Amino acid sequence: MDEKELALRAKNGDKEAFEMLVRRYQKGLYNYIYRLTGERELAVDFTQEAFLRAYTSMKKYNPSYHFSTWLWRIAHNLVVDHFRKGKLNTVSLQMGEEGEEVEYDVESNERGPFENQLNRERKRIIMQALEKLPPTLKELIILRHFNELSYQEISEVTGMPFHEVKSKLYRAREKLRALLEAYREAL
Amino acid sequence: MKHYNYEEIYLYLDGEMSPMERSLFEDHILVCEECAEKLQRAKALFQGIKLEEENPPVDIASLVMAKIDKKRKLLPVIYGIFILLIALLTVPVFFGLDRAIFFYYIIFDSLNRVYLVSKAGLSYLFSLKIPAWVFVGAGLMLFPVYFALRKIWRNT
Repeated sequence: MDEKELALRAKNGDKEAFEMLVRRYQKGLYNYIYRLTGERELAVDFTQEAFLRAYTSMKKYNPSYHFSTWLWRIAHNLVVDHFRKGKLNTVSLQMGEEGEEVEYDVESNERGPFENQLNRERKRIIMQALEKLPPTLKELIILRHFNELSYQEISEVTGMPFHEVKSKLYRAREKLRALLEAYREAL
Repeated sequence: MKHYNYEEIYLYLDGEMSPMERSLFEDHILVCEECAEKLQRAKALFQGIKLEEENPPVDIASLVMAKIDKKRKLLPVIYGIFILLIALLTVPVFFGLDRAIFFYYIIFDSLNRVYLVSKAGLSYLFSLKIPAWVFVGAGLMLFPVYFALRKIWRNT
């Protein structure tokens, strides 16, 4: 069943359809919030909260928009509010300790130890480079490269005009390229 | 020959070019080494940024659905209390203040009687000095009854 049909059924009070939507988007939404805040526990809480808010305002959902975009918009507002209230002092994307990282990295279990090590190293470098970006640019990179949203969808989630998404994504990538090249040279 | 800049190349890789622009770009890449190299660099950057999504440490869907179920069960109780309060407050509008006060008095008096009878009953129970284990035992015996009733309720 496609997203639109599920969203329409959920809007009409079908709880099972809503659960299917939650199952479909929980991983992506969790990763979006986790990459933004850098805190797993907080990401779990906010992902739940975003789904609960979506459920309670399901009647207000406009089916002409993608359900996922609407959901990401709710999560975006939650994170922005949280930053505004100053509960997080910095927009940290700092990784946890090495051991902690392996614990949650389910896919890593399928690879050999050497590949795991390389993957962890790559992940660490990318996360460090992302950390150095201003929060707005970092969010754009996360939405485009991790959640694979289109420019239009990013514009709807962040409330940023389309042309600004385009130019800021360019700036973000140029900064990332410079940072990643600097890391590579340092290695 | 007009060369493409990185901003335009990113648009191509993001799938944000129109079909016409795409086709022009692809034709150009075949003949322009400089832009083909830029495209390779941009692709390498995209590849470098790409990270796998990690699984959440808990099953978020189960947590969300459990909270929704809890909310749905509580909602009728909250609505019930709300409607009852509204109904009680609208009594004077329909039956006049004197009758409403009498009505409230009856409700208060009934509740007070229930309270007094319960208090007397409990006092009597404590005066019997029944050992604590009898109460605990009786309490434990209520569990199978509760689960049996719940099962019947769910089946219906």
